[in-house]
Amino acid sequence: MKILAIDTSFDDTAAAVLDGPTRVLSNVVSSQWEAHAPYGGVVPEVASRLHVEGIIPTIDTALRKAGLELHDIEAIAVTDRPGLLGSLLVGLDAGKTLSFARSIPLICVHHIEAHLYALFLKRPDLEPPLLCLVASGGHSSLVLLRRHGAMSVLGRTRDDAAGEAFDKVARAAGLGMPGGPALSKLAEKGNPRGVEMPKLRVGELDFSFSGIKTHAARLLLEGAEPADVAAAFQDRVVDALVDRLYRGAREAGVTTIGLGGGVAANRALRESTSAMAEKHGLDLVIPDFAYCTDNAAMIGCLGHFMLDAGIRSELDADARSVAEVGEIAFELHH
Amino acid sequence: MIAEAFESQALDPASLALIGVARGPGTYTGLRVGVVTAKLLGRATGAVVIGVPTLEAMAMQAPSSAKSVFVALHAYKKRLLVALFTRTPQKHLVQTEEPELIVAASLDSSPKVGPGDAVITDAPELIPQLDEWGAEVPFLDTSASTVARLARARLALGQVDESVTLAPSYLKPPSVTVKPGLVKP
Repeated sequence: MKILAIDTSFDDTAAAVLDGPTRVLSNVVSSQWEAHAPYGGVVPEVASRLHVEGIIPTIDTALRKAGLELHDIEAIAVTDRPGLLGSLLVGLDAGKTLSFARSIPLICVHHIEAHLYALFLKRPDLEPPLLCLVASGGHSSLVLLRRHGAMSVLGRTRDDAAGEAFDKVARAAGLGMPGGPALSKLAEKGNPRGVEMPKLRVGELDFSFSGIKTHAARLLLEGAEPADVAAAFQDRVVDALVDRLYRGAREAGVTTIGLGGGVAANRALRESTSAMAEKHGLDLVIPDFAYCTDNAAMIGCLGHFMLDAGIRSELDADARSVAEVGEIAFELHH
Repeated sequence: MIAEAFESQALDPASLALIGVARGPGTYTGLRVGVVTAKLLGRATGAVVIGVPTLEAMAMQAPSSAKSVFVALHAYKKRLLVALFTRTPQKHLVQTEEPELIVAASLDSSPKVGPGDAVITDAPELIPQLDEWGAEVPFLDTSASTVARLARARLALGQVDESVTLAPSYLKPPSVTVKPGLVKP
């Protein structure tokens, strides 16, 4: 089944075309970074306006790169939750309208659940159960896929998302946007033991990055070497993420783990997770970079699985800024 | 709602020739939903898309006897977006002044309109001078059929939009409060 997928949940306008659940024909992301950079963060109203401008060109580019016309598309998958409401509405409305105008099925998809399903784009033969750490500027969650269609969150951040904490410390260090990657680059030059940095609380599956973020900012204000602060901060955050991923896998009894979200691009996190997986004999899956950051291919992947399971969304579907993982369960019948 | 409209007339979306949509000014999110729907419906069906300015749609609701029509749209915080339309000898309403954003209280009592004219507004409570002016104040009908009629009129004049670039008329640039950096501990 040829599926057109759309994601406008945050600051990127994304569209993709898939043929089947894991065969990506095109994956287009139109970034808004330049428009938001002067403000030091994503401005919701700016994002909504740019989605309106970008939605048709992005969809058209995805179709062109896939070598298809709109009338070749057999279903629409679109992100309806969670994210910035005004941004979500643009993509959702576009998806609903295309579904109505072409009389083809519509499936609404949860953005975080789709990050987990990006693992299947890397390894189509992957079998649940598996545990995925989804870490980005907006989310930090340990998501368990018990079997296809049965998802739950084992742990989550209690305050900032991991990527958000990176961005905020980067801003305190006077680095430009996007801050996370800039801070990681600076960390490579620093000594993680050059400054005192508390460990994150261990013992549960939840995260908390607020305390360490404030500590890092205080050190920077006090004139500590920025590279050392960046290295120590990254060290502790990565330690905490890898620790929770390992504990979660052990508690859930799974042997397949994965990374998703923009923070999965962080080299220190990838290396540390690889070392942990090797040490404990776990199978680690990290999607290609383009499928770690926000993209529509992952929406199409999960959407396809849901359609296969017989799930359909109605034309009165509404966007939601906050939504739990695992609300809509489905079962695949083979 | 759109699906119901098609169903009730036993119409297929593919048979659409013209799509009219209110492009504002108005509430941003509301306009976006309408405009994005029109854009994608146009892209999917190949129908012509026409964005109808809200002020024109309002002016069209004046009785055909009205010589001049003063339109006042509630913008935000007691501000009005106002425009004056005048009827040509051919009976067409033409906008004679560019829309202007004003504080409602600064509307002076020297009237732009009087008896024989009309005032169309969604906020009569902000215009205490209404009675003094003596113009007719008809009930404001915000139905989509008005938008459709205006879209057809614009089509006849060749005023069509591109579905790719059509966007709402925003009254203001995005109001941005730059987030402060980390607060000094």
